Amino acid sequence: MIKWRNLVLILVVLVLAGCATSSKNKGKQSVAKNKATSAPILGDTAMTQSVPCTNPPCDSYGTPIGSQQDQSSSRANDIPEKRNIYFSYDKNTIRPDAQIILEEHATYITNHPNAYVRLEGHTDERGSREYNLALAERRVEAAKEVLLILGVFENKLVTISYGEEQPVALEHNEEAWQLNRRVELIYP
Amino acid sequence: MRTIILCLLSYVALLSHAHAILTIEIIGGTEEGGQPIAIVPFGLQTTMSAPSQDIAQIVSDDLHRSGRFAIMPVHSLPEQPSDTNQINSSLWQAVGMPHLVIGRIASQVKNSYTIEFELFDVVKGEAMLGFRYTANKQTLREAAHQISDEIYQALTGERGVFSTRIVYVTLQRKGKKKQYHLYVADADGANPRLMLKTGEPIFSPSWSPDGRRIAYVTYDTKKRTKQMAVYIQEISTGKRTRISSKRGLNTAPAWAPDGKRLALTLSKDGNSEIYIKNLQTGDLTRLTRNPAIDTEPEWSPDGKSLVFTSDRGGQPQIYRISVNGGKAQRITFQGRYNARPRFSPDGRQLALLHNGGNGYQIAVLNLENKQLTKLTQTRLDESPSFAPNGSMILYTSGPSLSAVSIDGRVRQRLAEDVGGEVREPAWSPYFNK
Repeated sequence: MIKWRNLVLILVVLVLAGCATSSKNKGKQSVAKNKATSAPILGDTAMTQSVPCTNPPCDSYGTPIGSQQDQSSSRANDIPEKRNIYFSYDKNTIRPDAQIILEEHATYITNHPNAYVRLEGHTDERGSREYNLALAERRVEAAKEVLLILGVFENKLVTISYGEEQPVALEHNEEAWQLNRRVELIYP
Repeated sequence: MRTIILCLLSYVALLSHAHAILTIEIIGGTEEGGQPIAIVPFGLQTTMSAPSQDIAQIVSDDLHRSGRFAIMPVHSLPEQPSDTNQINSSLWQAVGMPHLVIGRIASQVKNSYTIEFELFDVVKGEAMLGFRYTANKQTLREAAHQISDEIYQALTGERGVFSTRIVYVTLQRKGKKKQYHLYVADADGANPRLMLKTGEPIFSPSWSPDGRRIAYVTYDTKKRTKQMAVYIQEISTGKRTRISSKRGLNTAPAWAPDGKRLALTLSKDGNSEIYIKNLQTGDLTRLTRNPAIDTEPEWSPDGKSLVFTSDRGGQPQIYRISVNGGKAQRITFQGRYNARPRFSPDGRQLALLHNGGNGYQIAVLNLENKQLTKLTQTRLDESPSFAPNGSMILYTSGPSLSAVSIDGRVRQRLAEDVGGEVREPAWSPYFNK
């Protein structure tokens, strides 16, 4: 329990921090830039990407506590907002920040019999295109494994690797590379 | 003087109506040096109008791109003979020019040309070689490339690659929309032929050993999702066959030297492994067994072994395995990242993507003395491919096509007019060995 509370605390703090930065910038930044301000850069510290803090309001729903009292009960039915998990360079290890997001999705999928998820794996632009297809595939498989362990049925999941083919950030720097090393959870 | 009549088969090049034409010209990086040579504009028969292609210009461009020649600018030519008996050798000796190319074009019938050329040795005062070609409008460029091949071989002792082709992928972005094209073009980028146009990514185009077919990877769209698939497409007919679309990865097709088998990477058994598909029987044989990434297979020219990329040691490195399987031997030890190996045509060297701490660069590993030599200095290089004579390596540097000579002396950045990125160039084998 203590562990859970810590994780939730970290999450709330980070999301609030995300709020502070984006409100300062008055929404002028592009989506990619906005993400870049608080996406994890390197290492395995628990961080989340910033959530746009306008609508819906900024809270940490999808976690065991915190969101129910907020507003309508339909909120709990919404697909978790964070749909990207990030990876370190040339790694397919699920970092703690990614684990939290996958847990949110696992909860959502198991509570929604009609939910299907496509896991799309990506790498940054560096290195060999074919190797990156294999690396992105491993990231997708690692994310899938976590979801299976968390009780998601395999027939709810489809996977695909895009390698370095679909960057979300086109710059050639560490910030962009981190944003691109990801698995996206897509609800078709 | 030896004259050989070479009749070119006249075929209608099925030019695509594509907007994208790859104009390969050197825009920088070439070191000075190379043998001096003068290529005199070819004389035209008095009654004929100029053909659509400037033969001497095409030959000049070819030889220039090889990096082995210093071409005398046309305005510096001391005279412009078109026949050997018009040559004033002393004029050429005065400017220190050892070799010149002269030629003439005649046209008796509309859309039919006779092209003759001589390579003239100024010191000896005689022609070293001369050929006559018959061509039509469509085969003029082909004739010019054959002239370049003859000159190149006579002066370097090495077979030319000007009559070969390249395959490459282009990506055009229009807002969020992406358009991928697969093209086959002449080695100088002319005559691009569209092979495939799709909104889905295209990867890993690879030539069959006879140069007639291309294997590549793209995605098939199924009901709710997409599935990666390996295709083989015949260039002349455009007919394509799906070779593999298993669950997960279907990537990195590589032809065996016999053209009857294809190595490829599949993850159908849960992890990316290398398999060999017999194209005649359809049999699939698993070659690697390792929980790490194994991909990017490449056959040795003798067909006895394959090299591939694996991160089984913690980082991507190149390994070698017998075609019959067994234990793989690591063969790269320098640098933290070595991937995408490609054999030189003689099998003595491997071109690869290397990171020794200064970005991703093209390097060559000498398999005899294990020496690794970096050939490029840029930071985001990819996809090395050997010319069929082993003299140059074609690769991409960021979004653009580049070439480097095998000794690293000549580096070229090639200009593209494709309105997008060029990817994964692969140089064809010789069409007649």
